[in-house]
Amino acid sequence: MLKRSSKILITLEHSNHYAGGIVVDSTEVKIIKLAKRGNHQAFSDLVDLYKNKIYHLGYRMLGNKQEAEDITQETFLRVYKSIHKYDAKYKFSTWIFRIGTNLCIDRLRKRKNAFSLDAETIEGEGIDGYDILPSEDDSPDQQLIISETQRHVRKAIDKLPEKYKSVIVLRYLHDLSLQEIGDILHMPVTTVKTRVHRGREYLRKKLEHGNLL
Amino acid sequence: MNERVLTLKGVGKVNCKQVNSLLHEYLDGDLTGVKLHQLSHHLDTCSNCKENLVQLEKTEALTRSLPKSPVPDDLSNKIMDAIPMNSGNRWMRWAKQYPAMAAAAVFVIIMTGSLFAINEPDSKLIVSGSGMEYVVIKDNQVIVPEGQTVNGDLVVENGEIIVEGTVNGKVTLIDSEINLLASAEKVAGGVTHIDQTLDWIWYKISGFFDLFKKE
Repeated sequence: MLKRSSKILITLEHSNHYAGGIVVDSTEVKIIKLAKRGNHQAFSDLVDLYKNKIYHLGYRMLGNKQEAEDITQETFLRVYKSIHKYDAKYKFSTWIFRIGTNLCIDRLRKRKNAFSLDAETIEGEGIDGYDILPSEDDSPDQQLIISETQRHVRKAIDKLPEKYKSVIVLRYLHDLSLQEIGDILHMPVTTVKTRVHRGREYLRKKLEHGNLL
Repeated sequence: MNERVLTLKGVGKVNCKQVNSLLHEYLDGDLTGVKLHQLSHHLDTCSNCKENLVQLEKTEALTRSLPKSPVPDDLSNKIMDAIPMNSGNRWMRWAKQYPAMAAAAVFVIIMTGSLFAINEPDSKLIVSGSGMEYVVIKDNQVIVPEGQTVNGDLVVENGEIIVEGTVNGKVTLIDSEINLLASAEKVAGGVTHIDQTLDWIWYKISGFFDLFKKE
């Protein structure tokens, strides 16, 4: 019975309601309530609402399809197991992004410990561990479309140190505000700003080096 | 007014390193008022910093413009397959989480079920015990005939026992009546009434353990 009602809810109310300038997605609020009560269909709807965002986050943070998929699955598994702990006072997107980002950071740290990938010879120069990793694993067709510029930008992001990478990815690829990034990463906005500044400088140097600027 | 002029006068003294941090604040949309003036004045005179700003703006634009890679079609299915609820319903998940509680719950359900079975209204007369061969059974009545001596115990369920003779053993009554035509002394081992369901369970359980004792 519940399954059916949630499906109807989605088809009838798939619109955002504007309340005092703040976007309140009532559909999402209802879906989350149902999912909290263990409704299967509602959880599956929640997956459909957020899977792309988490996949893109994983893809940019980790640089390959397989790990992006893994991280998306792990994120939703965690969401499923701890949705009863989610406090509806806060934005759901902040909560799920926190889970996803933390999982990505954990992987990056493990990777670093396992291979010492960051042991670059000269500042940004030469071959380092990241070059060995399969970062571009799109089909040949897609690779034709990807321009040299995009390849450079991807690589520059891939090489960003982990603490700058998370803020840069959330800021520029997910278009989140500095405040939201602070909420996701549990750090003051001033720290987020410092990291955005340093990350931006790092990227600039890399892109300048690739004659893109 | 004076203050502002003074600040603007000091603009030239802002070095390029300081301007770099102003550039980032500007890109974050945080720069207003005097600081914004300072920056704009510096950029008018310093081509290096101006070039820096252009480069940073391009960096932002290039990073933002990075296309999102296509999401695999079967991602939803893969996610849902990894969720444990697909491998069982809520009760099963709960049971896996708290096995002891689940076992207790199963026990309670079975016991409750057996209670209903016990309390069936159309229960039949059951007579058992070692003194069986001396009694006469008529409808739901168990009669110990006059002059007859029962050398053993009797258990009567859902009926009535009429003792005209003598019973040397015990008489146990389960939801049954006893009719002693003379005195109670005719039952040497005493009479036990079991009417309540809980007593019944206890009786059954102790009987179960008695089986082991005998063996």
